[in-house]
Amino acid sequence: MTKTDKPPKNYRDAIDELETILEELESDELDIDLLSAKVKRAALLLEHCRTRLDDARVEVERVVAELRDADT
Amino acid sequence: MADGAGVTTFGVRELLDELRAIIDAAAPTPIWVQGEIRGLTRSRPGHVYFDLVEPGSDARRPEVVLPVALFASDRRQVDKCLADADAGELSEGAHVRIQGKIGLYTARSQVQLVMRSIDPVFTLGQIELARRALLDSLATEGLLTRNSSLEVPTMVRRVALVTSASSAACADALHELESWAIGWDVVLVDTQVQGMGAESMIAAAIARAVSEGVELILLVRGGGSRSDLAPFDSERVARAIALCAVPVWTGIGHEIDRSVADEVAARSHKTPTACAAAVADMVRAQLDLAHDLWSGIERRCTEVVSRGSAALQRCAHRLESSTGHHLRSEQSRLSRIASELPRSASHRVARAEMLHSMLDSRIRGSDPLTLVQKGWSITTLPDGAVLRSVQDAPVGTVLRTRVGDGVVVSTVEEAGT
Repeated sequence: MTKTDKPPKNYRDAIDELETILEELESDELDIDLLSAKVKRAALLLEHCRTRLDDARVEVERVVAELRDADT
Repeated sequence: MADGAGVTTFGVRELLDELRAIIDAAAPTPIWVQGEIRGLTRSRPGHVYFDLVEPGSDARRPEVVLPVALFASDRRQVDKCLADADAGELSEGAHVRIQGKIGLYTARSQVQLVMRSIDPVFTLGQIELARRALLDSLATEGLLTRNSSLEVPTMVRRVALVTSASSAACADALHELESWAIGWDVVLVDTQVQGMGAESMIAAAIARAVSEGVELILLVRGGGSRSDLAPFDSERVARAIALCAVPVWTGIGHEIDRSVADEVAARSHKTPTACAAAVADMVRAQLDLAHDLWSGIERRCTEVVSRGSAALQRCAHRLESSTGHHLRSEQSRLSRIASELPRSASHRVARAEMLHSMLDSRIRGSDPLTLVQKGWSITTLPDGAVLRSVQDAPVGTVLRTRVGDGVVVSTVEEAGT
């Protein structure tokens, strides 16, 4: 598994890595040879974060609904 | 009858008749005498016999004894007199003032008093005097309040009922205790409560109740005359109560007077029923208190739970709100990154392309051929090296000069700086 495929440890790390990639893209320091790899990595991280965020939303909605049921 | 020497010899009857005559002459009318009754017996026809002794005499060997006979014909009057004064009846140990006729009981050659009447006021007074003396003595010893200083368990579970088991008082007290349906354990300690030996029996019964491990002793008996209740004015019973290790409550059935037992007991009640009811009231009060406390606890718990529930609702609301906010914030952040990513990548490529273009321009600007096209020329030596110094081109050297549209070949004729 290459670094490009390596899943992030958690959401926070994924976001931090995404921000770093953005900064690199916005600067001139990123080697063009690494550009596509960085963009692919960024796409993977984005998908990961979206999934985690959707999961969190669903779980929160479920817990809040249970709390409401318990109150009534 | 006199003999020849003038000495009189009596026959038995004659002598006793003579003695009786002397006694009758000495005490011709009924006399009053006071003393303590000992050895009281009643015959089947209803006669009463007892000895009158000095008060406080040795019970078994009194120094002086006056036999007394109360015949049935006079007894009814005496009993009525005592009953009217609520002075009880003739009883063992009673200090009495009685009236009668001194005579000689010839069948036994015994001087005796044939009792006719009694002074009930004296008897009552003696009882009261003895009662007061006993109370003073107990007070001096600190025994009047000793039993009442004992702590009564508020939730009594084991109660002794000291009384005559066959009496109505016992039935009344038991009925009262059982009617409350409180699950206590009633230990019935049977004892005689009046008459000869009652004092000792009551004291022993109290001790027996203590040995049964009870928490409270109820000493009860029904109403009766003052003399019936005499054991409850006795020192024996008073000390048994005062020194008892367990609280003693009395329920001695006399509406007006208080016995010494009442005075030394932890609490006294006017009837056995009232005594039993007081125990039930006490326990009932504790049960009610426990019920009230539990209600308070329940109410308080409900309040706490309600407040906790409200707090949880607020927390849940805040949780939902803040979580939603956080999720939205992250969502917008992801969206921003997602939109910036392709743009940044494109920009990065564009910048790279621009740089490449600039480099290309610079490279192409630096190409000698390009300079030649612009009017510059390049002269090389026969070996192909670029001519850079006049030193390298002495006279006669063939030079090749590259210009925009071709090559000029020349020979050096003169060189100088």
